Formats: sequence, structure tokens, C-alpha cells
Amino acid sequence: MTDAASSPMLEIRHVTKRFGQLSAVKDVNLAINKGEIFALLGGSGCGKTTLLRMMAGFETPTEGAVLIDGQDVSNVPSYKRPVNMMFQSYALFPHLTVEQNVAFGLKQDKLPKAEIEAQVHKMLGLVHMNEFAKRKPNQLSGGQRQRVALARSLAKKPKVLLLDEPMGALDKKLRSQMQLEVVDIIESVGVTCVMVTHDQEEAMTMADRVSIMHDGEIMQIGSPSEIYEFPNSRHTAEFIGSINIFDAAVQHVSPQLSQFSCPDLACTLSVEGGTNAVEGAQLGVAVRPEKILMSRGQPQQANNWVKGEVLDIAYLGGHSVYHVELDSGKVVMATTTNMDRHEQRLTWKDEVYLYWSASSAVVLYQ
Amino acid sequence: MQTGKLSNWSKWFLSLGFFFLYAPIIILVIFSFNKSELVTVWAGFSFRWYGELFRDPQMLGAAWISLKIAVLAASAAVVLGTMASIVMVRMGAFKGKTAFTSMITAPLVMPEVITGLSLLLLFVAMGQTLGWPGQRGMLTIWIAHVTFCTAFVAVVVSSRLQELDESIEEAAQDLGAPPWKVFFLVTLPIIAPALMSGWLLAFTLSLDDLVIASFVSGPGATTLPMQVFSSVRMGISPQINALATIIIGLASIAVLVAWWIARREGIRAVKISES
Repeated sequence: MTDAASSPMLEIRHVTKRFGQLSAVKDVNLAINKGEIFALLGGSGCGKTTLLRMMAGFETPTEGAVLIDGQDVSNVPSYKRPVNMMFQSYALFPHLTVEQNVAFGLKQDKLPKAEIEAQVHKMLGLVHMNEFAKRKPNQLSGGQRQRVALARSLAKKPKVLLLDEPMGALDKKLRSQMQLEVVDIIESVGVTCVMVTHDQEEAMTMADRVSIMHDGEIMQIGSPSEIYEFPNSRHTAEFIGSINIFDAAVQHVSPQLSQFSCPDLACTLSVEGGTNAVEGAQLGVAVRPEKILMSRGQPQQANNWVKGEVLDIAYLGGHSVYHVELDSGKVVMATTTNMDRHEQRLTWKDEVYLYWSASSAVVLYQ
Repeated sequence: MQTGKLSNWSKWFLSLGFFFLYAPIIILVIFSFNKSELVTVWAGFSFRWYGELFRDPQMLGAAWISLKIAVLAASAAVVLGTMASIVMVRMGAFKGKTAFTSMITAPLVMPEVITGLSLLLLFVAMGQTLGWPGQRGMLTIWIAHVTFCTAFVAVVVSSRLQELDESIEEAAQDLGAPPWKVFFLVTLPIIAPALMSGWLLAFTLSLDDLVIASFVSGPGATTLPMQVFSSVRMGISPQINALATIIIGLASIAVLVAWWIARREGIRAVKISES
């Protein structure tokens, strides 16, 4: 949650970026707090990279302002901004050794030689790369290159660290290991960090707050769990994880419980909490697959259940995803954990009842 | 295909190919040590023609002029060619980019006779209207060589520049280096091998050029190829064989040194990654 006492370290105010006719970023507002790890998450072409490049100073906003630590830097070139970036390709200087790479930024500040050496040693120690100091980048593995790139972007003690698809160039196994390691390093330094990624798992693992971008606009900002549990739109709900969305009409609203009628269900749909929609309005009611329970017999609840037939099963080891076809033809996904090895599991063509509690569902307004 | 072993057919064709390529050169080298005045009659081993070559002021003067022109033309072509490459590769889209790019590379496909003749006409017209260049000579040959060498350098350097990841330059800028410093600290060292090979290419092309130099040269500026060509017309002297052998020797040494440097770098890289 935002700390009211301190002003944000990085602020984006009504920023719009147009390339010719095309608007890559549309009137975006953001406030990123000191020491926070913030992720810009979205598909390709959603404007997240353009926004990051405006923070770094490689692009200038068409409208609006970028503020770092309260100072307007919109027209300050990248080489004068207290911001450093780790590039997707790492962009290490191939003709320089590891330590020369890390020292590059410090040399630009004309620091005394001893100070540079000490800082380079400290940074390489931070990423456990001191023994590789004399190597050239082409003599390093992908993970080692990333460590050097991180050390180089942290060496100047930037006010804001920008990460562009930080794990994009690594293979899957190394990725999950490096995600946690990079977060540890960033947190130990205490730098404010903005990262761009298209990988929701990466964003949720690494970031304190995530913003979902779509078509140049920010759809939702929140902690990973807020975004997952309380998506505010169909787009966010579908982008993060998988979800079942029922088209429903508002039937009755009270501050504790909202009731909907849905053509797919024989009973009433109920969702905990009130809504500000009027009766009869068409909305979406969403339920995550892992919050849907399955049974062979009819559940003991009046609302939120439906009968269907098992259409498809995806066995994933730890859990299985069941695709259940309702009488209306709609297919609903439900997940079960495979706790017992010899359990009599539901199988294809089985008749099954799906049910969930009113606190599991969310209302989507748009 | 089997590795390591060549079939008889392959060996046969390989030898034929090498023979075709190198037999003339070997014969030339052998005959440079010939005692006889006749180029094709062997009369015993001698360094006679090397001695004559080094006592021939015209030949030495021509070689000196050619070397000076080649070094100066290659250096100027590298500067201009690199600047042109940066405009073509890094400046993004601008009006007239296609025209600029094709005009830079046009001299590559232009017949030398046309390049030479058009430059001659230009120099004559300029001499008449502007009074400069008053006389054709080393300067005009140098200008002519720079124009066509620039095209070759631009092609070599721009292909290297295209391969260079632009984010490397952005990273340097991000770390606090203003654009001119980025160029000298990052771009230039990375593309240096391309500049070197561009320079060598321009140097050889300039040293080798006969046609264009013949058009734009004036009295007092005879390059080595011009000198060789005119003396051959008088009858082939074994002195030319001696000169050719020296040039082949120098070229071989240059190639060997380049190979040795490359190999040493390679070995060092392997050693470091093994340790």
C-alpha cells in the first residue's frame, strides 16, 4: 500500500507517446514508491517497453511528464538521468572484460581510480562474479552474463533500476532460480525497480506491485494477489491465469450479497458483497478453476452449482484440469489437487456437479 | 561424406585447382632469380634483377608514389566510408535514404573506364572554371581513389554495423556516456576489425588500380601499375618478376601476421575458458 509520508521515487504523469498516427502509450499515470519492485505486465505491442524507454530517456513523451525523485526529467537525455537499465540482451560491451564493463559507468562520472576499483569489487561480489572479473563476455554463460549486466546497472547506485524482460534470454530452469536471486540482490541494495515482462509468473514472483497494460493503457494496478483474486476487467482476468466467466444479469443487490441470473445455470449465481450495478444490467461473473469443487452427487447448497459432463482431462502431475461441458454447451474448467495416488478419479463422460462458494466469485464490470 | 579422408577423385581435382591458381605465381617467382635477360629462358640462379630493380629510380619512385597514394586513400576512405555507414545504418529513415544508399554503393558496379573518364572530365572542367586543380597528379589520383574506395569501405563497415546490437550503444549512453563518447568508447572498438579490413581492401584496390589512375594522372605522377604496364609494353624485363616476387612476399607476410594474431587471440580465449 502507498506510503503517504514519502513522495514517489518515480512518477509518470499523463504520459502519451505517439509514433506518427499510432499511440503506443495513452495517458498513463503511475507512482512508484521508493524501494518498490514494480512490474509492467502485458502482451507484445501493449506499450510497456515504450513506457520503460521513456523512463530511461531513450524516448521522449509526446505529452505528459516523467518525474524522478520529484524532478521533471522528461527532456533530460538518458546519459544524465539517475536511472540505469538492464537490457533484455544484456548488452554487455564485447570488447571489455567483466570488470571493465562494470567500471564503465563509474568512469563516466570521473570517480577516483581507487573508488572505482572498490565499487567494482563490491558489485561483482554482490553477484558472485569476482572470480570471472578478467573474462570477456563471450567467455560467460547466459546466467553469468545476466549477473554481470545486473552488477553493471547497479554500480552507479541509480535511483531507479529498469529491467527489460530480465529473464527473456534464459532457459526455463535457470529462469526460476535467477528470478529469486535477482529479487534478493535488488532488495539487499534497496533500489527502486521497474521491470517489464510478458511473463505473468515472472511478474508475480518478482514484483511487489504489478500493473497490467493493454493497448497502451493501464488496466489495473495492484499486488500480485489483488490482481489474481480481484481482477477488475475481463481482460485482466483472462490475462492472468485461467478463469471461467459467466455472462449474467443482475437480479438482486444487497450490501452483503449480489444475486445474478445466468442462462448457463439452473440456479441463481451469488457473489459476496454488493455491486453498484442496477438491476437487469449485464455483467460477467468470474470464478477461478481451482475454486470450483466437483462431486458426483448434488451439492448441499441452493446457489452456485451446475451439472455437466466431463469433456476433457489434463493430468499435470500435481493437479489435474477438468473441462466440463454444461447442458448449455458452455465449457467450464475446474482444477483438483491429486492428493491420493489410488483415488477413484472422475473420468471422461462422467456426470459431475460443479459448485463454489459465493466468496470465490468476482464481478467483472467491463 | 567421410571426414579426414579424401577420395582419389577429390585429391585429383584439388591438385588441379591449386595448380591452376598457383603454378603461374611459382613460375614467376622462380624466373625472378633467372640470370638470363630473356624472361622465358633459364640460365642459372642469380639476384641480378633484384639489384637492377633497386637501382632503377623510375620503378622505385613509382612504387613510393603508389604506396603514399594507397595509404592516404585508404585512410580517407575509411573515415568517409564509416561516416556514410553510420548515416545508412543508425540514422533511421530520412528523406532520400534510398537514393543516398544506392549512390554510395554505385561505384562498386561502375566500370572503371567510366569512373576514370568522368573524373577526368570533372577535373578538366573544374580546372578551367575554378582554376583548381591546376595540374593533374598525385592529388587527383588520390581524390579518384578515395571516391571508389569509400564505396567498398561503406559496404564492409555497414554490414558490421548492422550486426551490432543497438542496445549495446544504448547501454553505454544509459551508463552516462554522451553520444560522441559512445561512438569512440564502444562503437569504434567493436567495429574496428571491419575498419581494418576495409582499410586493407581500400589499400589493395588503390595499389592495384591502373585504369582510373591512367585517366586522372598527370605528368610527374606515375604509379607502380602504370610504370609496370608501360615497361611491359617495351618488352617484358625479368626486373618485373623480381618486383612481383617482392610484392608477393610482402603480401604473404602480412597475411601470416594477421593469421598469427587471430590464432593467438583464439588460443588465449580457449585457455581462459578452460581455467
